[in-house]
Amino acid sequence: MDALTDDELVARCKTELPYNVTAYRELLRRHEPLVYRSCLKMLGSVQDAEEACQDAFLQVFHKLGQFEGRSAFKTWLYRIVYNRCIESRRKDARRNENHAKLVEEITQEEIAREDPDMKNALTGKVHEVIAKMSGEDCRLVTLRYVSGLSLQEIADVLEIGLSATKMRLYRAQEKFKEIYNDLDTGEETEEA
Amino acid sequence: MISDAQFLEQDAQILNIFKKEGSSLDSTRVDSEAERVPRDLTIEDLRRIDRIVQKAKFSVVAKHSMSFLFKTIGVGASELALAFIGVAKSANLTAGSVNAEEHENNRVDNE
Repeated sequence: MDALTDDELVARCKTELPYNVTAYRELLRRHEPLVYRSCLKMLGSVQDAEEACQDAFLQVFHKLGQFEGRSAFKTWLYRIVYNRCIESRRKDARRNENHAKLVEEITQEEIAREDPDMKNALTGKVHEVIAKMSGEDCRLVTLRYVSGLSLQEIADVLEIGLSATKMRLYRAQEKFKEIYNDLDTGEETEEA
Repeated sequence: MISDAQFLEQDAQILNIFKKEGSSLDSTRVDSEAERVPRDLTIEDLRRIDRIVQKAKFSVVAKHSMSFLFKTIGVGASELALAFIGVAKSANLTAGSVNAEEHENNRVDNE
């Protein structure tokens, strides 16, 4: 399975699903960890990230037959993930804020205790910067630096032109640097 | 308008920050061709993957069960409707025969 490309795995999934999930499982092994971490950065909550990631891959499971292969599988997958995260953010805004915060804090503490990799993803300075960024900037930075998508892939996910993507990403980068440097300055002042 | 050089310079700076903080899972991933090889998965990753596979399988079973249920309900409803029609028809027939009998009795009485 390791030797197969994503396209070959997708082709196998189309013929084998739902009875045989071997190829689907391999696609999950390749993409799920990164998709999950991207969701985590975009949504800032373990619970929401896991839910969004699960939903996205369930959509893949049910809609893979409709995937025509006009774009790369990865682009198609991240488009689903991106839209799912936007939807989750909207729902989140409607939810009772205090209750959600309390639940998130407890869950995040528990997961961070269990998984050191997660601990870094949730407490690092980069996470702090991303959490302070606005919705779209946060998603753009995540797609580029956490998911590792190229500029063209991001343009495909967002379904906008390459130059518009470059412009938006550049602005998001500037915002990121600004907040990052502010945090640096803040830390230095505290130390002094 | 942003030049490619400006963009790439800023891009490299931020990529370095992510690498330094270890937030980018695999620093070689960005713009790399080595995506086919899955990185080492943690136990937590494997658990999540298993949960998704189980949920996907369950959703198929649930979907089939629901469609079977609706089909059964549909068939049941149509059978029931036919039975009602049958009952109504036979009731009409009975009422008809009773009327005919009464009519016959009246005729005999009149004679």
